[in-house]
Amino acid sequence: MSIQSRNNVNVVGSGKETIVFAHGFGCDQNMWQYLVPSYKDNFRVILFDLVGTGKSDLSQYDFDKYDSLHGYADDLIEIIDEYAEGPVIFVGHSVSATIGMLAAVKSPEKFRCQIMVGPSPSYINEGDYIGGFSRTDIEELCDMIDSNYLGWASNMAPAIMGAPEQPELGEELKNSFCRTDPAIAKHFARVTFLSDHRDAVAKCATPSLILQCSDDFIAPRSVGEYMQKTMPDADMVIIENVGHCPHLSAPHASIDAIDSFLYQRL
Amino acid sequence: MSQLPDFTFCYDHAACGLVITDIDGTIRRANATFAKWLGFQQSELVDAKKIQELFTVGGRFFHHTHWAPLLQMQGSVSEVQIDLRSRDDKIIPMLVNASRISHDGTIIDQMAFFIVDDRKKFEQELVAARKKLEASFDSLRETQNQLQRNQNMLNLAMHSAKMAGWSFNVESERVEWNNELQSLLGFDEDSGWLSKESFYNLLHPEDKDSFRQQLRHAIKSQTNYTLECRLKNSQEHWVEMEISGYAVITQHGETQSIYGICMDVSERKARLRELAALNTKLSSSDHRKNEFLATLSHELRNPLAPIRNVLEIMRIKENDATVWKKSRILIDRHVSHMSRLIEDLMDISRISHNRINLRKQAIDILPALHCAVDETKPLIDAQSHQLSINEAKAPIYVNADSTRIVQIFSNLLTNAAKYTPAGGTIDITVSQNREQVTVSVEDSGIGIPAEELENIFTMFSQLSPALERAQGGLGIGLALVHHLVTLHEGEIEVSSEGHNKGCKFTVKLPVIRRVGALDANSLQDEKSKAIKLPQRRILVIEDNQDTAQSLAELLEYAGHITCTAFDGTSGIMQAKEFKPEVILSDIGLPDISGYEVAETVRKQLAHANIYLIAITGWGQKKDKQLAKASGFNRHITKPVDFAELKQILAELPDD
Repeated sequence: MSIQSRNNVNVVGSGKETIVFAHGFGCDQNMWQYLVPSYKDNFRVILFDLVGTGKSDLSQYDFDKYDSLHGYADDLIEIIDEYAEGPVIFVGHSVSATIGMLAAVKSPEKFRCQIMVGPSPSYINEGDYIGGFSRTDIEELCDMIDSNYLGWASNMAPAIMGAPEQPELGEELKNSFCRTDPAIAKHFARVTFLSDHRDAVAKCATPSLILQCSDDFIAPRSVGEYMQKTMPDADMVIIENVGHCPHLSAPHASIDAIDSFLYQRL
Repeated sequence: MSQLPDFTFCYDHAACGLVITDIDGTIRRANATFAKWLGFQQSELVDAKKIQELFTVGGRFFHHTHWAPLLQMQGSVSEVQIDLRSRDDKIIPMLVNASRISHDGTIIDQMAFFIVDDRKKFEQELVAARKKLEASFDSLRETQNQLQRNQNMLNLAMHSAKMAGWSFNVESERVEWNNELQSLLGFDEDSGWLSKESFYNLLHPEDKDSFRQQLRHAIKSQTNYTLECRLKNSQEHWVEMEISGYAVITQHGETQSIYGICMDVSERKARLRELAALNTKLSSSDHRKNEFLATLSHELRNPLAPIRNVLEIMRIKENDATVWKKSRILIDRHVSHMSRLIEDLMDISRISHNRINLRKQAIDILPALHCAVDETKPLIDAQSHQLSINEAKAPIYVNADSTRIVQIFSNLLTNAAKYTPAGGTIDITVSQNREQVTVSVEDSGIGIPAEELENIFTMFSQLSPALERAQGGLGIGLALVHHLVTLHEGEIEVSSEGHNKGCKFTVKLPVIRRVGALDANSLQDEKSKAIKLPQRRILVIEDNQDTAQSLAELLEYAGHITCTAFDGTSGIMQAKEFKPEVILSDIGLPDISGYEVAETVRKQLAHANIYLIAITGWGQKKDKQLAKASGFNRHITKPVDFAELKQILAELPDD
């Protein structure tokens, strides 16, 4: 088993510095399609799919290994070791922001800095901490995935009616988008939304940029603020955006924020 | 024709919920159907709510993680099933198609909702059914695994127990078996021996009929069955099988097939046969032993009658010296006979317990032979047998215990005399080669039947029940002779032409060719040496008062001064008072053991320099060591041979 086939690793562009993009819960590395063109001319860009998603090798989905985000963090370190020379700039969305944080705590020397898009170390409210959800909410979410797995995990085909012009999307891409094995999707959702890695937040000294959407149901501002306050060296930029994917719905604002951070920190 | 409603009406009252939102989800249009389904006024939705705010928590996650990215990237999503929350908080499952379009430079999302209550229920059922199916599949797989494990265990158990499965189909007459039977019989998997014929070919010819018969019986009686047969294995050896099982009966009550387990019982059968043989041997040996006991009692009782008679005569003829002399000779003869019997018995016992000690030394065999002849001469003469000795003149040396050599030949000669009718011949022939000396004793007697020759040296092997025989004897003599010869690394053979044809015993012993200084006459000397007897003070400690007193009396006759004690404690006391030079002590005493007596005497009378002689029942090495360790100077075995004792006393150092 190669790391390449396990994680469907793609390397594009070239440059002195390496940027690793890691997608969040839901889809796959295609989520970075609006950002990659801006970086591939000056950076070596590494893209990959978390095991269990996209075109990763589903047979490598070990329910024990991936029973916590540490399993993914170990994979990330292996990818960096295999594909990068020197410490990397890591861009992680949502759950991958947490995965990156865990990897950076384990092997800080492998990370120059990180951009955390919509991060949340824990989704459940506890005491003063406002994760955004009650435990009941998260249980309901998991139940819904469980009982509605046809809708969640199977083919999210584009509507056949009046399809708008989207020339950059190839046929193949459309069919594999956000699709995965239902059992894996269910397990991954539980691991993602029930995880609590707040203890790692203060330990992560890697220079970090938190990209926080102004209206994000999944990662509310209170979480972004908590992270910025708790991490030893973190900036936060609020992007005017409804939703959890500023790199999709507000790519320009996202790029500006990242560039500005990199300009300051590199 | 009435006028058709306009598009606005159509839109508002369409058969589905129609919604237009900004890309952030803000509702810009919502038709009446959609508003009505959710229990809202249209005005409560338009520009007031985002579409995702109408979703459940799970739906909102889905909106962020899938819906929005998909709309962004692929422009549309179709057939998404999502739960919406009505104004009064009811969950309404809906199916939605959404597409992102550009309208007058503005990008908007338009979506159509359908209530899918039934479909949702149906889907839920489908999901439940699938879950159930998965669960039962899991359980099936687990069952299969369990079954496989059980099968493996069973195979292992059957293999270890040398068992195999076997079945016979009544209709097809086909015999089938599992791999274990094949491996039991050592055949390959592809040896193609599955036909009925091939099975019957493996059956032992003698078993075929009974096998068929037993099979028919099992089929007919529809019961459990057990049958036995022999099957030929790949090595062409017969494997003994026990096949047990049951008949499988159809619903019409007919036997369909019979199933069973074959077990390799070859070993068990072999054991049983061994056991049976052993049993036969044991019961025959038990029979011989009983015979022997009867003979023994007879033989021991026989001399008592004449002794008792003679004693009565002596009482009557109290002062008749002639009668007394005759009587003494008669009693002496019978006591000697009994002593010999008992001595033989004890020898056999010593040999069988490995307790015999041979005092081997280089001796000339010829004087020993003559000694045996002398011993048996009275019996031979009494029967008027003709005795001839054909022997070499030069000495023939063997490494042997001279007493035992005398015993061997005196036994053979006694037998020859006893089993030869009066006036027969007994011929002794001695020959020699470089390796061994051969002494044969041949008689013209009643002979030995061929079938008895084999067992002649076995214990209790006398030819016929003792009470029917005239000659008496215990039937242990030849067994003893055989043992003694063997202990001398020699061989003994017997031959007989049959009934009344006489028989010949041949003893072969290894010779020693070079002998250093050797006292060839030691044997003779032993018997004839004149013994000068110094007077000794002798204490006899023995719990059998008769034995003690008679021994003391004999010693007195021999010129010694004696004293007796009947237990250990008084023995020690007497030792202090009587001040003996010699103590003869039994070992088994009623109070303390003879060993303790010796220890005490050695401790308390250390300077008395008393010569201590132990008397024990068994001449075991262990007894001798114990005796020595506790302070005895010597050790003699019961019954005390007075001649031996006299010898010992004569040889005592003077101080």
